[in-house]
Amino acid sequence: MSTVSVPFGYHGMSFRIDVSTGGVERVPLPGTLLRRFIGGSGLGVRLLLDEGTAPLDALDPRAPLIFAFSPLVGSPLTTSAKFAVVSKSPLTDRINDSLASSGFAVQGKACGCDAMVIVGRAAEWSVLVIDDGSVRLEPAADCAGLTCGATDARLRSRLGSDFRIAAIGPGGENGVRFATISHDGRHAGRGGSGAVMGAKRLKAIAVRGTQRPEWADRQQVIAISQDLSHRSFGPATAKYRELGTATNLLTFNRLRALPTRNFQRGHFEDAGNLSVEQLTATRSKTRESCVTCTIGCEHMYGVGSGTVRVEYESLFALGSLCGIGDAEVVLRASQRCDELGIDTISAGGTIAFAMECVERGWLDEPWLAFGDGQALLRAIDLIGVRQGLGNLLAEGSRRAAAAIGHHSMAIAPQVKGLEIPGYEPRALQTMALGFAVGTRGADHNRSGAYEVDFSEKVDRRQVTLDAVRHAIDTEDRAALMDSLIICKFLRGVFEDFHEEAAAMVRSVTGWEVTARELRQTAARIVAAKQQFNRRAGWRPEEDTLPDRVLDTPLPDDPLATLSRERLAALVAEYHRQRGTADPRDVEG
Amino acid sequence: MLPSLHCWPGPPPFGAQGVLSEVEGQPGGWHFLMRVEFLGVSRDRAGVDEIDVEAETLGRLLMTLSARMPRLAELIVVDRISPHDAHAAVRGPRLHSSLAANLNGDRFISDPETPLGERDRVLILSADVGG
Repeated sequence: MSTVSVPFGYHGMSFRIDVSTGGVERVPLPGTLLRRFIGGSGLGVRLLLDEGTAPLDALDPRAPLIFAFSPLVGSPLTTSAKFAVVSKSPLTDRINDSLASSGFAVQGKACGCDAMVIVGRAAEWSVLVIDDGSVRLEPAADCAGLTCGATDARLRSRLGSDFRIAAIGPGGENGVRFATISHDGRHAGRGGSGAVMGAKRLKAIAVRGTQRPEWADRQQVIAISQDLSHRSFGPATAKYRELGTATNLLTFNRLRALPTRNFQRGHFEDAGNLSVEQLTATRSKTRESCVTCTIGCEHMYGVGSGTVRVEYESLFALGSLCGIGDAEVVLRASQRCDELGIDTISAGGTIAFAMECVERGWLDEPWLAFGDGQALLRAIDLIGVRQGLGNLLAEGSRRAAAAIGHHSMAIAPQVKGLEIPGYEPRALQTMALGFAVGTRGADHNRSGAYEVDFSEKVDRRQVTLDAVRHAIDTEDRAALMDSLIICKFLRGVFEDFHEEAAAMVRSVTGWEVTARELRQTAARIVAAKQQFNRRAGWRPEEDTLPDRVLDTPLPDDPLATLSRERLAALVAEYHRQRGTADPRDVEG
Repeated sequence: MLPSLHCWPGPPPFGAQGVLSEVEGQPGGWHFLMRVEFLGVSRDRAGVDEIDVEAETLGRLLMTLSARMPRLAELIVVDRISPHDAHAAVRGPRLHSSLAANLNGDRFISDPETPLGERDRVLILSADVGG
């Protein structure tokens, strides 16, 4: 029997758990594989490819749901307490990797594994308990129908307060295709991983552990951590620390880049009502941080008798996109989405789409109108339980458009089925390219191309082929950050991200990793995602944007025009520069 | 003496042009006052939404803001070519990398020699718009 050398920072092991039988297989992870995909999104995608299930329906019991940790998890490196949830998306039928920060990452890894690959379908609603490497299923029928937060509280009361819980809400139970997985009030939010978990009849996963891998150079890990933490208090993160992402709202509105009324406009007349300044002046406010994070970007505002974490994406999707300028309604809507366990961006995008369909006479639901806050709240509740119109909207805008017909697909605000986040593609055209080619659809976390639009590198409203290499750079950097895993809100702190990332990996793993190697790793991870999509049936024509934003100038800014031909040229150049990855490099 | 700053009473319409105003300390001399809009962290640090200021270049504008707005000045950087010589030539000023300057809602600018004209307005906003 050969002895497998386990790298520092890893357990060198994944748990493959079949919840149909309760069986657990401990699968060694070779050091060569770990070095080539690191962890998080990269490791998760590679393990998913190895499962060979890409053609299966995302909600098929055999389709895996993977929780992947990273070598940095458990270290004192700021923002490193993160994990990736990787699966096929029931919303896009393509790859989905959602990331989140919480104590779940630390306790999950401390169970003695670098990843948990979950397949099968439990006989009844269950909680998967992983207690320091010991795995069992417990009945959780009493949690069915509970919100994410209530499930967390009940299970920690039952199992022990030192357990960390990842749970789905009613949205995941009911198969809402954009359901989230919630933990510590945060969410693995996009693409419907909560529906995948629900399809396995898993209401929750509870983890607790004591197993912590050694680091190769403990002193260096601590030194790097202290330096990075010190810098994280500086001006590069001031926006997140002092105001939160919600401050984007007025900036985008000023640049006519704030998607409004289902992407019909780029400017919202009531944006001021939703601004940080207005929220701060009228509500209680506290600030919170994720585990190990020194930035503290979570700005919690009072709403009703509770609080809600306010993010730009939720304000945009449930506010301007639906034509709603009543802050109380928007915050309640965001809070309700969190309780139900559904993605605020896809919820808002799909509802805004339906509002326009009603306006055009394509959908006979006259109560659902732009600007009607009570209608928004009602629609969210209906989605969560899949009742009435909610059953259609729970499918997301692309499937809803296919059912509604007329020309509604042209105005469905999605790419590959994933609703577009709050970056108007005509006004931010490098981002438009990032959306079009994104492996999980329109996404601002897998491509940071908006950074390019907010620079002198391009004319954001008339980008040329020069923008493509910048878009690729941001996509690669995101893939690397999502695999290390380090929060993207730190990016402004780094002088040379790849050099510093290499130093982090060297100190934890002992591998002589260079910045150049990490650049190759990042490209390999993107290629692995693309490879999964090809196996799942990806076609080149998917790399585009909705008809609405092509050839039609943005009404508030006529210079913001993106022709079909120019987008096609950008996409073609993107694929030319990416080249065709050698399958042996991403899978071998 | 640096020119005075004037707070505008309310939000201007998009694309509005600058105005001619009398500059404090220079009676009878009409000078162009361009408008600066602050968004996000820069607004928080400036303490106002927008101001008028006389400046012919981006560098002059930033020098003026730096002198008049101490909290914002922390995010305006002046690089001395020799960091040990206070009299050494300076490069800049420039905004800290966390901020960006945009001209008229159209293009982003950073060269301190960028000329500013009578129809211009400068937006100072967060460079990082991650959400």
